[in-house]
Amino acid sequence: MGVSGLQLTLALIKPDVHAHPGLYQHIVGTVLKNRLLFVRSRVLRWSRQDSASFYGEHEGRFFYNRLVGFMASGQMSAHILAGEDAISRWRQLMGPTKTFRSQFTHRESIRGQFGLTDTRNCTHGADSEKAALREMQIFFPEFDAKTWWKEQSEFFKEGRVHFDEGRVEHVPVGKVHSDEGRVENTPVDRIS
Amino acid sequence: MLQTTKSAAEVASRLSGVFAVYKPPGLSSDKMINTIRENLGKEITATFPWVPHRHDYRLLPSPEDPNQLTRVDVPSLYKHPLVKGHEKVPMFSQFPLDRLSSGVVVLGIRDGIKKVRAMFHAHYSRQYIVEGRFGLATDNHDVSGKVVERTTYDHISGEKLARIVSFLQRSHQNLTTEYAGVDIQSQEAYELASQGLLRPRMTSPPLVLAMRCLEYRPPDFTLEIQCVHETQQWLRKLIHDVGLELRSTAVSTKVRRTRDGYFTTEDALLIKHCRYEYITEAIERSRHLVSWKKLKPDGNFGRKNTESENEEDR
Amino acid sequence: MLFLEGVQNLGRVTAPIFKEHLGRNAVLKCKTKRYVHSSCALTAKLKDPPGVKKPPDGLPVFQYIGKHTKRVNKIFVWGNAVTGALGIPDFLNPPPRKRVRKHQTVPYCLQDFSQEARTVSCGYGFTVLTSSKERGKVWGTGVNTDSQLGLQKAVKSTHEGASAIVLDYVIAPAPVDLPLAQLQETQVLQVACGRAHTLILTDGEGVFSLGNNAYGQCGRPVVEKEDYRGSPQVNKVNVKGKVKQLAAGLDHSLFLTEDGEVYSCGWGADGQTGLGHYKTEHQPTRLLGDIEGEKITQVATFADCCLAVSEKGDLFGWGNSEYNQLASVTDTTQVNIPRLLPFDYIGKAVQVAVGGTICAVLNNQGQVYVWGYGILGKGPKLDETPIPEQLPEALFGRNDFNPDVTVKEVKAGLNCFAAVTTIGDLYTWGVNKHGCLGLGHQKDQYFPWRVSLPGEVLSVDCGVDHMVAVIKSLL
Repeated sequence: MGVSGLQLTLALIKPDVHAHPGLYQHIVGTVLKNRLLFVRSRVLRWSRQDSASFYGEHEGRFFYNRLVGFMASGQMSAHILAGEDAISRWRQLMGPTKTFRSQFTHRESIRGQFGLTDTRNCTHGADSEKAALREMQIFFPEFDAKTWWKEQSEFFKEGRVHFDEGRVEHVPVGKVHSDEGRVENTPVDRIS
Repeated sequence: MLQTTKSAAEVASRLSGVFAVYKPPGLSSDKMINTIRENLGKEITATFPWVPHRHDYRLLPSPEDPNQLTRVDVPSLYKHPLVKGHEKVPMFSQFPLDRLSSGVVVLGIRDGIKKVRAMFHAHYSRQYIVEGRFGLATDNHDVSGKVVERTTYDHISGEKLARIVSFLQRSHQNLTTEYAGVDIQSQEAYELASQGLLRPRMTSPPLVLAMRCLEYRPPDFTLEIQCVHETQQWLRKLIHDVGLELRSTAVSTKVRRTRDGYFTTEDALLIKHCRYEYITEAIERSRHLVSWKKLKPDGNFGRKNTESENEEDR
Repeated sequence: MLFLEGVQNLGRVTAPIFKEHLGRNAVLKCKTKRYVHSSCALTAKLKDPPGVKKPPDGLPVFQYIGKHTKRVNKIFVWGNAVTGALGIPDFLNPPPRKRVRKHQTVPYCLQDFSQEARTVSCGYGFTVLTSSKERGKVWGTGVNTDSQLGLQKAVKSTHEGASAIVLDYVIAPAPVDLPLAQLQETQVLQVACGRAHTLILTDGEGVFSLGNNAYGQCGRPVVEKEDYRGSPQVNKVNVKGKVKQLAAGLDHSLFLTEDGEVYSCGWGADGQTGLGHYKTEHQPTRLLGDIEGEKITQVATFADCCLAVSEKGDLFGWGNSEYNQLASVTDTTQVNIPRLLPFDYIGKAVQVAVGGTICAVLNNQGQVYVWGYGILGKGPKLDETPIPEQLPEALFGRNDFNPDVTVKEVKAGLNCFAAVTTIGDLYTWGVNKHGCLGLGHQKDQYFPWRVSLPGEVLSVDCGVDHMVAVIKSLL
């Protein structure tokens, strides 16, 4: 896309992570450490229908049923991540889908460390630019990628952003973030 | 009996090999070794004739003509026992026992010293029979020491003692494999462990390989301990620890080594038998115990404990 | 002490008896200090044995333990401490000048709960304990985001006044309220924990369930988008017949009745409910298939694969088979009906254990057979096998000195195994995430390795990343 290779991708953090206090914070921290930026974040709860339509491409595969069922089982969060080569870097960070194998082959990946089973595998990431766009539309219908590229991508490219921990979002310095109809409260550290 | 054809010096220089001695308590190993060495040297000197190894010549006035000198061969006296002292036999023990303990001490003579040193690198296990007594604590963990505490021991049953002893033994189990010199993460470690062959093969702290209670007759008890890299004082400490684990105190009354590597009490000579005749016999008899094949670090584990020894102890 | 290295916190010194004597016998204080066991130094009391002459040196005789002292139970915990599942508040809320402890790699004594420990169960980041003193009660510690430990509240006082907040996790064992009809008589027999739900078996009042019910694993109808956080709901599960044993999968539940029938509810997307379909089921329903007519004696599950063993010693399995768990009877990745596993050569099976992708069976001779995928205990070489392979008995401490040692119980965590031997030793092996094997490090262990515990292990339970063992003291 951009000259500097800035890319947008969609990341989902699945219900098994949200059921575990502290783990969500840890994963967000891992993302930040790997110099990926949060453009948008929201916490949501899916119904079975939402889940089924999202994973429509997998219909007919043996894991389709359990994937759909699992995604509808609890609170989860969706994030738009920005960064150089974000799609492949986020997928690399996540590790392979098969948790039981990645815990031996990709020990440092998120799934290798925290994944429970092949279904309850912590995270999801878009696999291509096209899919990323499509998935971003599903979770953030109000997010207009074109406008963002025009108005804000420079800030992200140059690193003129600061991290808002409450929202789990990077906000361009000097810009007021518009509340784009976000409903749920952002996940906070419930520990303290 | 003795071959009179050899000279004392020849005999002393040819004596080499490994043999075991049974050390009595109350005598330090150094002193014992010195005594054996002295006695052996004296014996060799006394038994074998002194044969001059060469002759010196002197030029003496001829008996016929005092103005003439004649060459007279006289035996060289500089190696005569009265000049040089008795024959010396180098002797060495890699694992001596301390003064209070008794049992098998393996000694090497001349070439045997090399083998005795090699026993160190073979990491053989040694077996002890240790006797202890509950109800006392002394400053040196031995019954001879100064009593610092008295405790009750009426709660200790044979079953409890066996349980603690077994527990202590098993708590050393992991350590013995850690010092096995193989990577625990490797397939080799698994193969060895599944055959029960993981045992210390490198320098390690004292480790118990096996331990069991042979007898408990309150307040006295007897343990059989197989261990590596131990000292006798460490064994006394072990007895003390057994006492503490049983919420009492214990001191050791006897520490007796019944096996050192492949040498058992049966192979050991009594001090009174440490004579040339028996020592040569013992060296010959135990030559197969110290073959270089066995002294290689990957050799066998050591001889299994002999039942007769345990019975003798009871 | 020398031998208990690696086992921390052996016993808290509590009895003040000795202190009284200290004043009287100042000599003892200084002289005995060096020699006395740290854990009993202050509990010792002086005793003059009746009818025994005072020894000539005039030293008093100490008694550290009574003649008829009973052996006590203790709970030891290890593994991931971040979740609070270890129940040690000091790890997460450390005293001054101490650091937060995230991993406990060696067993640690759960002091406040030790004396009366009975049974334990570990889930994903939480632990449920029962006590032998108050038999009708259950304690829980750890993650509580889905109210798997019931409604746990704390009072938070701010400048505006005190307000109650719902705890998302509990860092020390807290009682779980059960709606028991007869508080005095009813006893809790067993607990089982899944990913986010808890099952509790009582002797008179059936089974109770708490926590996440997104798939009906609590045995009640699924409510779409129900918020489980802060929910005080405890559900009484309606199972036909008297339940003998519980098993909780990550998102499903199995109930074994005294007649040897198996009932299940919860998520069936991998066939783990064994009901012949891949849907969720909220009403405990009897499993048929090959186990119909067989008297089942034990069921085991952890993630999405289930195993059962019958009175005759046959093995049955259903659920996920992506990693060869059930590859001996099927080529598919999911089996939704119990199938007989044809492993005659292992002899009579008595107990099974199953983790995420790893399976183990114990036969009546105390031999352990393993199959599946992962670290099975046969060294780093063996990765995947569809048929059981025996683990050598020497690995469980059988040697010349302990010739009769066999395994009496085998348990599985998500990626690790634990086995208890007849002489009360605990062996663990598998993936060592967060030090959950209790071996003092975080490296994977490829064959059974003894865990250093100061006593005889009675039972053990494995969670996803922690383990809890109930031990009996040696004296």
